[in-house]
Amino acid sequence: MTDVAAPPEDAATSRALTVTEFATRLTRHLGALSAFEIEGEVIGLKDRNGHRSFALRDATSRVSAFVYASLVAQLPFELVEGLFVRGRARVSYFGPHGQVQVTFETLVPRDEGPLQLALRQLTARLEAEGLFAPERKKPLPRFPVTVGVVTSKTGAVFRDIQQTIQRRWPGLTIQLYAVRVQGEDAAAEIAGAIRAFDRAGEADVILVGRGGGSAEDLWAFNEEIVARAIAESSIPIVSCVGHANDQTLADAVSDRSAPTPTAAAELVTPVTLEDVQALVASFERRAGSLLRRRVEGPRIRIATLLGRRVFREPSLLTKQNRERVDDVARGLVDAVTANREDAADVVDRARLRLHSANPLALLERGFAVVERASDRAVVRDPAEVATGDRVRIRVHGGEFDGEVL
Amino acid sequence: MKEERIEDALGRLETLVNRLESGQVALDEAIELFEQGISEVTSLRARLDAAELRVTEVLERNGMLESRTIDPDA
Repeated sequence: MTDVAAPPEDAATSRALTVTEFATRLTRHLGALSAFEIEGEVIGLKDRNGHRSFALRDATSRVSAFVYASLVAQLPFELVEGLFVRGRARVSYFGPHGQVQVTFETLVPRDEGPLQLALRQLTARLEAEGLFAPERKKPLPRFPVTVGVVTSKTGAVFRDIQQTIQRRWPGLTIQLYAVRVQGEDAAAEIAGAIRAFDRAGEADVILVGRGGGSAEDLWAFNEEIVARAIAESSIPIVSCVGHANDQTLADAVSDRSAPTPTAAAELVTPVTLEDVQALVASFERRAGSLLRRRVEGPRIRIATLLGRRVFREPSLLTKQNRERVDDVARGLVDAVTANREDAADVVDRARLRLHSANPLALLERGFAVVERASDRAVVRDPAEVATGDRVRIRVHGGEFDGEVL
Repeated sequence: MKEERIEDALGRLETLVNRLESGQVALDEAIELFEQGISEVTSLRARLDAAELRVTEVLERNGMLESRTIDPDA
């Protein structure tokens, strides 16, 4: 390796190096060095037309660093101030600024995986936007008619959802929008299916999910495009991604998240067929007993009325009448024998008494006579009628029909 | 015409029973409500008994969902 500061071969001329010559040599010299791994903290980060420049530092030293826009675009995470990074770099001398700088060829966070960091950063951003706020969560319908499902057509998830719904509330339509749930296109397909359901507006609730797998398998559900599609859906969404302890961004943004497909299907069928059947039966029972109670009062009144002496022993009526008629007759005889002035008076009194003896006057006092409609026989005993029999009820002002309850 | 939601029918039944329960209605109205309730119950039961899961596969075309039925037991 040549000495950077060594004069050109024609040293005899003793010509001094121009700065540019020095810079060119230094550049060539440093460029010959092989790439190396370097790590440090990002300080003074600047965006230069998509490229990034910053200082990489440790406790005591710093060096200028540069990342080309092409590499920036490939990073899943965001390069931010204060981040500890490591990567393969080459060193160069940048003449115009008089600086030695390292240019990264690869770059990852020093302390965690790039995807973990990316997820953490995305989560923080969406959180700041309020996408996880509890007040954004939409309530699930109690009686959905159509359930949209976004998952793979094969696999246990769809089968579990189908079986659970069949068992709990079979009067439903399930619309499956089949998507790939892992791999490069998965996130776009999942987001597309959610948006399609939202646009069509047929589904009352959407289930989004997949079965268990590695963190990479579940990754589509951590992507921003999926999180945003869920957040923007006007139809409530229930997510079920992976196993119970897998928490993805999709789960955080969804209106509800369930540990399993079965639990998700239970969430969208909060009321089961059995519940509704029991409810209907209870309505029927309640209405029946209410009506019975409602009818009971009048029934007792009628029964009491029918139990009155005059109805039980109508002969009493005639017997009493007979006595009264006798009375009146005596009175008339008296009247005839009395002097004329008294006569009118006596007749008046007699008329009054006769009147009160008239069985029909009883009606005027509020009693009623009940007859069977079929043969117009006067009902004297509750046993003479049966439930459903039509009866005619005679009261002072007229008569009307009724039915025995 | 789209079939009435079971939710709505249940809601109506509930209102009806509540009215009956309030004791504010006259006897003949109560009987009428009861009869109405029984007919609601009968039609609800029939619907619940006939409830059958429909499973379709959909995909979007021009903003509309195209669906084809798939056999739930398959």
